[in-house]
Amino acid sequence: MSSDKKKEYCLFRIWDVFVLVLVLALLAVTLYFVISPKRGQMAEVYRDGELIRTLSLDVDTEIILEDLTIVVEDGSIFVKYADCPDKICERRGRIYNAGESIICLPNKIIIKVVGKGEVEAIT
Amino acid sequence: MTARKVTGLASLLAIALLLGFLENILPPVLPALPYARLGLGNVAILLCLMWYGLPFAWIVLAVKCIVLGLFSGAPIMILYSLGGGAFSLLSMWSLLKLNKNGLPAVSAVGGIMHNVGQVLVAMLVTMTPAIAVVLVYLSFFGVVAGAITGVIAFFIHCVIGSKVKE
Repeated sequence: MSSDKKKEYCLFRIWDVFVLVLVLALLAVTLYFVISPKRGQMAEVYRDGELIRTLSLDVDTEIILEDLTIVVEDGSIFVKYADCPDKICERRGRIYNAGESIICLPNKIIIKVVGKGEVEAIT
Repeated sequence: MTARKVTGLASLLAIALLLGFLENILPPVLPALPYARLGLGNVAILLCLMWYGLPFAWIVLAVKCIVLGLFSGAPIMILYSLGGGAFSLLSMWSLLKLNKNGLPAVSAVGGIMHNVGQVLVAMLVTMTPAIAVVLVYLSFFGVVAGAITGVIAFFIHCVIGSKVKE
């Protein structure tokens, strides 16, 4: 990096408009494809990308894995207890719409709500 | 490499670490998006990039991610934050090189790219492409958070930027 070239830093320049419009347009387009809140019927639990459990949201249950306690109640699913320090998945709360997910990064666990017989669009 | 530069870099690193710890302790800004963080540590990274250049920013970033990851109790988080940090740093560096944008915009793009990097690593680690959906929501937050940290970086630069000599 040449130190003789003095750079001016500003709060706002006209180019920022282009950047913001571009970014927001991209986000709006992707958001359009993502939002379709439909109540899910099933929940899938993945560990390391492998499907380990499939649960029906109609049946209230409590599943105790070695690091997570997952509860199905009133058509929703949530993490009741996680042994990881950040507790992000606990704070995520209840999810019930198809496409919603709880992700626990430290334990590499993903809980995903899916509709019945729905074809997985993203994979 | 003067003593002044070493101290400046060390101070930036210390600030980045402190802000990182603070953010880990505080509850999430948006309860619906618990992964979303303001990324105040990014202020220090951005300032480091502006004042000392890319190589030193890499060092500060790497040390910050590793130390924060070790202390948070979940060392796997190092992977995620390094992935996000690398994307963010490279995008901010390119925009600063172009020298056409204001700092908040640079930082906002950095915020989005941080999310992109983190989600990419998460997709690779968990082998679940479906995580990409989270990225859309995270990115909206990333723009705002990035712009805020950019404004903060701008004012810090205004106050003490002229005193920083290479």
